[in-house]
Amino acid sequence: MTDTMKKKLIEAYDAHSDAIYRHCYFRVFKKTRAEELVQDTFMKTWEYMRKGKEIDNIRAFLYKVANNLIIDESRKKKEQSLDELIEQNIFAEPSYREEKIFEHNIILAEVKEKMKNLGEEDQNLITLRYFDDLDPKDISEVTGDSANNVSVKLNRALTKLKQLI
Amino acid sequence: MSNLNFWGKLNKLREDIKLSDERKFKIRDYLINEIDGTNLESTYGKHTKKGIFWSQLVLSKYQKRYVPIIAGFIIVVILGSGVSFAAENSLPGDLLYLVKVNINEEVLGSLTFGVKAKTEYEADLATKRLEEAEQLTVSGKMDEETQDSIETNFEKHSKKVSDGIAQVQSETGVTDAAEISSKFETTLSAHEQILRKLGDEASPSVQSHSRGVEGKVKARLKDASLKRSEFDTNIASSDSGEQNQSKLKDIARDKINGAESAATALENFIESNKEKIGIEVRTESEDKIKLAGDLILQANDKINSASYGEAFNLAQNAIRIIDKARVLVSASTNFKLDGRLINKSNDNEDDTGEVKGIQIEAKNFRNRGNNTTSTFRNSDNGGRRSRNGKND
Repeated sequence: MTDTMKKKLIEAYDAHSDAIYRHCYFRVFKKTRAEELVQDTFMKTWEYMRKGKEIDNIRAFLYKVANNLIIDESRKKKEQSLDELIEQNIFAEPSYREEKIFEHNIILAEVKEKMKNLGEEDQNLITLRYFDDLDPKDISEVTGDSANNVSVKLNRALTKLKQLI
Repeated sequence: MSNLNFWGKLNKLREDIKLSDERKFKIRDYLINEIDGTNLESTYGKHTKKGIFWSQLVLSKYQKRYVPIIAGFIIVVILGSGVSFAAENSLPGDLLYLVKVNINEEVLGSLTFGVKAKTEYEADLATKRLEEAEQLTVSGKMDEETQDSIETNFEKHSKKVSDGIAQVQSETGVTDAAEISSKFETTLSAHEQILRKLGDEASPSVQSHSRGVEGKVKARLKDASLKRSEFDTNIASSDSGEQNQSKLKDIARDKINGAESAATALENFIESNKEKIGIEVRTESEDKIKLAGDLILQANDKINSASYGEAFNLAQNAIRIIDKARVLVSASTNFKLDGRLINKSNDNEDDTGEVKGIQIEAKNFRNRGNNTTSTFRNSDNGGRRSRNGKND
């Protein structure tokens, strides 16, 4: 039983860890924290599975767990200045050229500035839709809302974001 | 920034945001370790912050200095997790390859004691590098970087084998040194031929890199052959003192027994895998077994005429033929090579005759060392093929 659960979780990790990372990253805008959130997300999922609880849609479940962790995170995080964001030099991986790092950081700062003016729920919806490529039906499984409500809220959030750009 | 530009750049940015391979594997390792370590109660909460750090301690090549210190503690955890096992099949260029060579092999090496065992272990590692080269050639992944990795590590292990043989000779005697030297020469010879064959069938770019590795093997093979010849001469003309002769007789007898066992094991292996082995290969291997059998007969005659050094060398020769045939038979099944692996003109065998056949792993020298039993021996047939009534 444990082996089956372990296999399921590791398969889910191999399939979805990048997506979960991206989701976390565009919510917290910190590389190392996003990595920790990925780890925490999968560990919490494992704890849930160990209790013998079934997960029908593990992808949606992972996003739910990640979102809850991010909400906890947002209660603690401070506002980050544009300068701090650039200084993090998040893209300073060996493969990145200097100009790409600079451009990415500028865009990130722009995105963050735009997103922070949206509410928590709107940020989540935008991230799930445009960064995680989830459709409204998938998003509804994450948020617990109906697919129709998700579509409506998403449109409103997008309208707000476009006005900010 | 215009609306269009913003979304376009955002999409591009989104493609670039992902976990690095290193981080992805580290978190994965941590998850597996946590899952495997969890029994009745979750210890997750205690490890939240430590997880990645712990994995860094274990996996980072830059923290290799910690490995000797904590090897005794972490080895059980590593081997209990999926990491070590997964790393074992990795090749140069794979992320887990660093785990394989810097941790797995180092830790296992540190648990090997005695100069003979350590030298045999280094020979095993040199063989592993050649097997990796073969897999890279077959998969088309042999390039400049992987070639360099293979060659560097192969040379490192080969030098240790060479140094180790010299040390074994001075510490435990020439016959032990001769045995290790002979086995190493056999495996180099077999893999040199395998690499050549695989290189022949590879694309030009892969072939050029594979030939580079082959060249390194050839150079080491030449040295090993020279060394083996020296040992043969040394043993054949060994001291005629009674005590030494008695000891040499026992050693020669053991070597003959080992040759017989190896021949039986190869026969059993071929029998068990005959569906995977082509008819031509099987025929050639059986010819080799017969050739080895002739040498064993001659070795027994030499025992009877008290020429124990020569008996030892003949038996050693027989084992070389069997071992090489075994390595080659295995390779033919692994890489699905048909027909003759060895071209007559390229065969570098001298007085042992041609060795045609396919690969078998001549790995794990330790298992075939002192007790002279073959790795594949699992039959009670005994295999006293060549004894005559006059043998003691």
